[in-house]
Amino acid sequence: MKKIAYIAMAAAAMAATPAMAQSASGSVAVTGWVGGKCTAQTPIAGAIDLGDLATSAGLINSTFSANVGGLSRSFSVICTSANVNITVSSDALNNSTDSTTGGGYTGRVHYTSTLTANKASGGTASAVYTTADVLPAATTTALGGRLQNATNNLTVTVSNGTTTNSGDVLKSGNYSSTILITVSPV
Amino acid sequence: MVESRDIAGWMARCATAALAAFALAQPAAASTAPITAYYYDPALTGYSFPGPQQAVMTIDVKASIGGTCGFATGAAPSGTVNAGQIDVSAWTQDVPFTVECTAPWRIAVSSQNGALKTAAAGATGYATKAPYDVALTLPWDTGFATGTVTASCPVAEIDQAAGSTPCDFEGAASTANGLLVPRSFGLSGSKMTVSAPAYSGTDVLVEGTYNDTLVVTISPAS
Repeated sequence: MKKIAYIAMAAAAMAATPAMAQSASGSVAVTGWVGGKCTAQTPIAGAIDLGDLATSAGLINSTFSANVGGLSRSFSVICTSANVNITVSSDALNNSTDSTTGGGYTGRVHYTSTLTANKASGGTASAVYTTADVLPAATTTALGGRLQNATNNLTVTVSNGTTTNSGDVLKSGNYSSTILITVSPV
Repeated sequence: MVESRDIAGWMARCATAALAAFALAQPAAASTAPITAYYYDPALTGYSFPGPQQAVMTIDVKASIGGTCGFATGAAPSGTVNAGQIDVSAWTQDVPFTVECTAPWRIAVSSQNGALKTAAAGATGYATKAPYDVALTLPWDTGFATGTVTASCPVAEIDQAAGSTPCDFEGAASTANGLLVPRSFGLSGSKMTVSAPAYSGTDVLVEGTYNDTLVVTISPAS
């Protein structure tokens, strides 16, 4: 007469269970490069007007005190490299019609160009070049560090006018010279 | 004979119920207490049976289908993006991948350096990190609707060391973190795009090789 239902429900514990949450990943490498280079922010160009090169006695005014607008010019250059070479050279100031020397007269004036670079770490480094009748090789100086990242971080200055013979009188006329400046990554 | 037939039928019903529970359900509160039911024999008129005529059991049946989520085989984001000379030219490149997620999912991206970074030493006025952008394009299809989730962040916002940022896909994907996407299974068009204009920061990028690693993770969403 009696029926007994004896059901062990615990067996149902193996019923559906959600799949475990999964995650996945991937990896992508991104690379690029920056080359070593120096770039002038504005053209390294300009002019330095030394005015009358001669004293009242006709000899070279070694300080170029008659200059118009100063004896220096500054430029802005950026470099990516950890070290930078600065190089300077020039020819002499030559009379456009007669640059010879003789008989107590001369049409050639020698001078010194000083190229100075500001360093990122502070301080400066300079390359100095002085013309002669036989032009020496260009002068190169390594900064030994990074160039300062700032405007007008390079300055060239002319100074110390001379003649081959110290007593020579300068011939009248126009004198000109070109200073060559190079800034290169190392 | 009647009694034997009824008992057989009853047992069959109980067995059926038990099987159903066994196969489908995880009971909310399993009970192992014996239940006693009685056959109310019509011949026993006036007899007071000590228990119920039926053993009534309430069984909560629950089931769920767990979402699976991963990249299709051989279609996880990988490889190398070569950005070239980053201070000279703009660059952009897509990294395609295929997602197989059967339910809503999330994606996140983490950057090792938060930028393209070089090991070279810097100095005042110089930079050793170059920024770029990371964008995600994620088509989805729920079976009822389709669409595309897009998002973009500066890589600095997914720098692994950056902590919390406004970027929607910063860090590692989890059920609660990352950019939410309804459902994507085998859809084409999923991609990560990395790009930048030519570097133009005030500080000068130093000479050298620049690197970063992006780790893309996906996870089922909660």
